[in-house]
Amino acid sequence: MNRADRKLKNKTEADRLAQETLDNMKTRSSARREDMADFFEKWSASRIFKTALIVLPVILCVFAVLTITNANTKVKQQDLAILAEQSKIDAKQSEIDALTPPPANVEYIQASLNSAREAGMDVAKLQNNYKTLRATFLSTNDGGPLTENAVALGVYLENAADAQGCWYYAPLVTYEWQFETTYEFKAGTSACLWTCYDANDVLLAYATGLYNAATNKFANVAFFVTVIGQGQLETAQEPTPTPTPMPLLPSITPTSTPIPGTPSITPTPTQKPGTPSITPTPTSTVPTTPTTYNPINHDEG
Amino acid sequence: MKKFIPFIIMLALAIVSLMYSNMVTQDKQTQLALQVSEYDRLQSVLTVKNSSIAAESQRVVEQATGLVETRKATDDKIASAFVSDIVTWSSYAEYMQKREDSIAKYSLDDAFLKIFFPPVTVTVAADGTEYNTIDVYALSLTLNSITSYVTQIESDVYTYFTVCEVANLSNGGEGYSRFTIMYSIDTSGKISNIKGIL
Repeated sequence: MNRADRKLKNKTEADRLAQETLDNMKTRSSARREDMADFFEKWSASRIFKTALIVLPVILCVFAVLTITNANTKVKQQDLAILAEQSKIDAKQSEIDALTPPPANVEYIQASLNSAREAGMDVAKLQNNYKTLRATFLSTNDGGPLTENAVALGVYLENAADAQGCWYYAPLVTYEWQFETTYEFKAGTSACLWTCYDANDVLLAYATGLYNAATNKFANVAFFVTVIGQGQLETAQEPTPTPTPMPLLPSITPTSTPIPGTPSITPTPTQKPGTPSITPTPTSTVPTTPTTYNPINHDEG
Repeated sequence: MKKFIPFIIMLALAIVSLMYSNMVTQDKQTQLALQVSEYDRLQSVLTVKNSSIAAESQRVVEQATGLVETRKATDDKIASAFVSDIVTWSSYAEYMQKREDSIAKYSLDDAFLKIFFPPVTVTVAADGTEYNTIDVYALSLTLNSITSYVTQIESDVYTYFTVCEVANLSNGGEGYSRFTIMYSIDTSGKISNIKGIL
């Protein structure tokens, strides 16, 4: 068989296969058409209607059940929202009911301020007691009176542990705590101030607090020692006769005058700015020291 | 006809369920809206009542102590401006300017100046360059807050003891400090008798 014959034979075979495939497809298509015709024959309009009469009520039934279930869920959510809103209303109503009417009269406020003054003066007196009590403690080693004093102070304090100790103690200085007159009165409370001056009328320490007329106690009591007061605390032997005011800038000597070009403080040309000749302490510009001072725990040195 | 009965019953049931759902949720919605409106009303009542109590309280306090709260608020602004004037600076030039301005504006005595505006030491290098402590250490002060206490009221002059808190910076490090000032302010807003201590 030569090459041309083989080619012809292959072509004939391909044509035959294509024809067979086409025939198969035609046969399948015809079968599908017949199936469709059968289907539509079975599902005639009346049969569809009959089926619908059975299916639709079921669908409607499901729809009704779902609708009612959904409504119930929604109602439950709304009930919760209503309850929450009602509790908000109740809370607001309680807030309104609890509003304290304005102080009945001027006498009420004056009486409250008088109570604050009396309590404040008692606190100042008890603080002043600490000075002698500590001296006694040092000689007798009996801490009982100190404790009693602290307990007496605690009567006036809402949080006794915060401030029932000694607020300031300088053994060699004459000083006195005093309660400053109170003028402010807001919602049954009054902002209060105690000051501690020495014999030269220099402020050594002060304390602040909030007096509550209903409880006759002071809350948020905080006490602070001034820089001069701090210096007197540290006095070992003798009090400073006339305390020198501390400048706002610790690095600057108040008495020094700018003397440009003074040989004694003129740095060498190679010296960098901020040399030890000025010796400032850059870490603290204002040396006010809030101090919590406790006589009982304080180290006597 | 019989064959329609299930359909009709179910259709009716579906319609009734829809109506029920709408009716119930609508009812709750209305109830909720009423509650919200009631809450708003109570809030208004509370606000009005609070204002009324505050006003009445202020009036009675004024009668009892002589302290007028609005006056104190005004005085606090004056004091705040004063303290801000003396403690807000961030350079030697600004410090000196504030010093001069404050001396001119307020009657500051030497004791006060020694504490709050001490002279700044200036050193001069051999090449004539001046160095001052403030700029060398990048010192600066800023007022944070004041808390004032009225200690005396006399002939419309209020005397205060005020605790001031300031933020201080030094070479980038930040700290907070407290000092006190005592002063009087008259009805015209003039601040006098100024004393201060750290």
